[in-house]
Amino acid sequence: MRAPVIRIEGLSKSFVLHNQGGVELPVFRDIDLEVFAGECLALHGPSGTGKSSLIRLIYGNYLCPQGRILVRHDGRVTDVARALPHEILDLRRRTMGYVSQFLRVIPRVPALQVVAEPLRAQGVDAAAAEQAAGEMLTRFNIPERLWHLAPATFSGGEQQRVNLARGFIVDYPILLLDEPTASLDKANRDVVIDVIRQATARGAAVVGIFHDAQMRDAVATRVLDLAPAGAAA
Amino acid sequence: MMDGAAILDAPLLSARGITHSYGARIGCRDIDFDLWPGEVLGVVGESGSGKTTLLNCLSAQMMPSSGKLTYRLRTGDQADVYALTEAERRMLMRTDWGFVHQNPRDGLRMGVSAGANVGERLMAVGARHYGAIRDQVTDWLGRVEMDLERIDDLPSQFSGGMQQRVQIARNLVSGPRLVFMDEPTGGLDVSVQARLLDLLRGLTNDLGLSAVIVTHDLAVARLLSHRLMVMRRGEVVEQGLTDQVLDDPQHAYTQLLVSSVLQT
Amino acid sequence: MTQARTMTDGGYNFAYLDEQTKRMIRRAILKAVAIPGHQVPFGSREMPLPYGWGTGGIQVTASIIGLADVLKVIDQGADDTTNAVSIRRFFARTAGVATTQATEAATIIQTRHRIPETVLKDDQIIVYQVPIPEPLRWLEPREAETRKMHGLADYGVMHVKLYEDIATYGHIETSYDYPVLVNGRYLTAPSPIPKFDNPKMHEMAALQLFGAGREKRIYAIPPYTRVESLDFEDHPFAAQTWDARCAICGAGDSFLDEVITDDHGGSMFVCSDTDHCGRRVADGHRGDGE
Repeated sequence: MRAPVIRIEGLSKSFVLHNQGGVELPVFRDIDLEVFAGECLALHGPSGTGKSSLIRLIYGNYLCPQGRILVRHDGRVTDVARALPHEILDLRRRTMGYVSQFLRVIPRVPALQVVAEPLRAQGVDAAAAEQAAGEMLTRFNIPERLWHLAPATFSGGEQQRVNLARGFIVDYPILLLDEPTASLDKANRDVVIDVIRQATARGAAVVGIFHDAQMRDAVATRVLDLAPAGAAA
Repeated sequence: MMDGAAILDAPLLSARGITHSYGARIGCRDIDFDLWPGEVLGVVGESGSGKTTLLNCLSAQMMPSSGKLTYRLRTGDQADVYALTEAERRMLMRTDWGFVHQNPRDGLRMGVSAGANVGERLMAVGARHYGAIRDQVTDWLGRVEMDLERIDDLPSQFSGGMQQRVQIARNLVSGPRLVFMDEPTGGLDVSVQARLLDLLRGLTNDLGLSAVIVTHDLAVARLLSHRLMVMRRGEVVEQGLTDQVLDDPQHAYTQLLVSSVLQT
Repeated sequence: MTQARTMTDGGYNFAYLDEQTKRMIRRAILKAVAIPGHQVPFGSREMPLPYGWGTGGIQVTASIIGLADVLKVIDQGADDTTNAVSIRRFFARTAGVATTQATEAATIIQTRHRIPETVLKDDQIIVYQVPIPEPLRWLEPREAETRKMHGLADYGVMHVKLYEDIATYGHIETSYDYPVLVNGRYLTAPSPIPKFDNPKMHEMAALQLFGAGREKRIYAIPPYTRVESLDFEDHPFAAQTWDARCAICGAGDSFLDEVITDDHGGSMFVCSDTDHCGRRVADGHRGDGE
């Protein structure tokens, strides 16, 4: 039997707000999940069910206090919940890509370099990385005149496409997508459908939140329904 | 290709139980951490939280009251930093380490030219060919985006941002593996700060530098550091991956810090 | 009786200083000789002339001079300038020693700013008057730090000064008090002699003693000691040279001073070492000046 690329065991998450009387906000409890290479798992459920939190937990962006998040990395299994910071960074550099709804803009850095950066972090030389970045930006219909500008001044849709180009420039074995198409038009949504299908075809495991059903139906090979907090998943 | 395995093999700097008190007052207490090669550690906390005391202890500019600091040399040998002789310590500080002060006046010789400031480390370790020194100085001033016309001008004639860039070049010219920075962008205009941050981020990425950066500015910490240590009253209250600490803070004090940042 | 002769007119002690002070200074000198180029602190005394007039050199001379010595004093190479004349008289009166202007006749030569052109011998001592004994002072104002730098032979910063010269002038412009490394160990200020004289310090047969009165430091270079002037591989040390010859004696290998002769820009070059120049003239050498 094939081993899963991601295996989640007994994962629970809640937030404690110390400065608001120590109130505890449960997100979900006791989740078990396996994701295999070549599939695209869509997380589904009303808002507040922790879809985004689950993705952030897998990416190591949220702290995992309880449960295990096992990710296959470098031929071994790493538990994101226990990994040291530099191990998580290595995991992100080589194994897990993440595309959120918002581009975190860095002052002064032009779009081309924002997109090229994940390749640069893998040690690809600047020229080759920028060449690949240019191809990705072209694919996401970002006109060349914008490539050398910092994306801070771009529209929401343009920023999101830069973000997608950055997320898909490396052939990560795992891709985490948090509503990556929220402000895209039809033509660009089709590009996203295309790149996701390509990713699963080459064997990537994709976990995503897709706000519209059409998009979800086009890419998802499996749907996971998340129940509101408190109920069993 | 960046060699991931090499990065993961052993910490570069290990601090254990670093404690320093000024008489009855605690500067920092029981600080433990490992800094890995290529890793940038941010230390945040408000004024008086012990950040600067810790930085001075880690960079061996100050001997802590107790604690042990181990540094892995290029040879692979582990050096007990507080047991080094003065000569060994100085050699380390001008070859393998760098220290960028908040106030460039503390890190530059204001009475000699920008070029001489940058070249000093090379001469200190025995470079005796003027032309070769000059070439390296020129290269580094270019990398920190200095106008090369100003290579022979005194730093006192420069703006704060330019002085800071000269200080960075002065530290990096010897190809250090570890750089300590104390509020490197403090006291600069926002636009100058952004440019300097971008420069620092690029340099640490490209050179694979390890760094310990003290700042009270969470945006600076997010931009530059991989990992964050939150200090309060001399103690570390929380540490972890930078985005994790900032996006999912666990300790009441960190939650307060994060929620106190003005959104623009 | 010897004792009677040492107490010269006016009731001064022999060579002015009391015996305890001289012993203290001799101990400092012995230590300085034992550690070539290292600055040894000493209890500098008030002297009957102001700092800057050679109080350090005078105290060293006073501590080593004996009745049999013959003293020569020069200032900028000349025996007949105010400072040289008054120091020579000071010792003639307080120690009753013989004085001379002839370099080879002297056993002790006290100097400000020059080394004589005549090659010194192993039975001579040259005493330098030193204003700033610390060669690192220009770059490092903290005394505690410069001492540490000497202790660790941490001298790289000294090249920063030479670097600045080349960056500014295209060559090493420092022409006086040009820093030297003594016996491969201590960085040392040769006092404000012209760098023309630096090569004479290397392997010199005579003992070289340095006294800084205001800064309260004594240092020494024993006979036949290695003295290297700092430089860069691509900008090696070079002494000054002149296109002219001495207008009086015709010497082409001595240190020359330019002397203004009229109000119309006229000038001539003459030997800075008056004894050397005079002896050459006595030997029949002539320049084309007048």
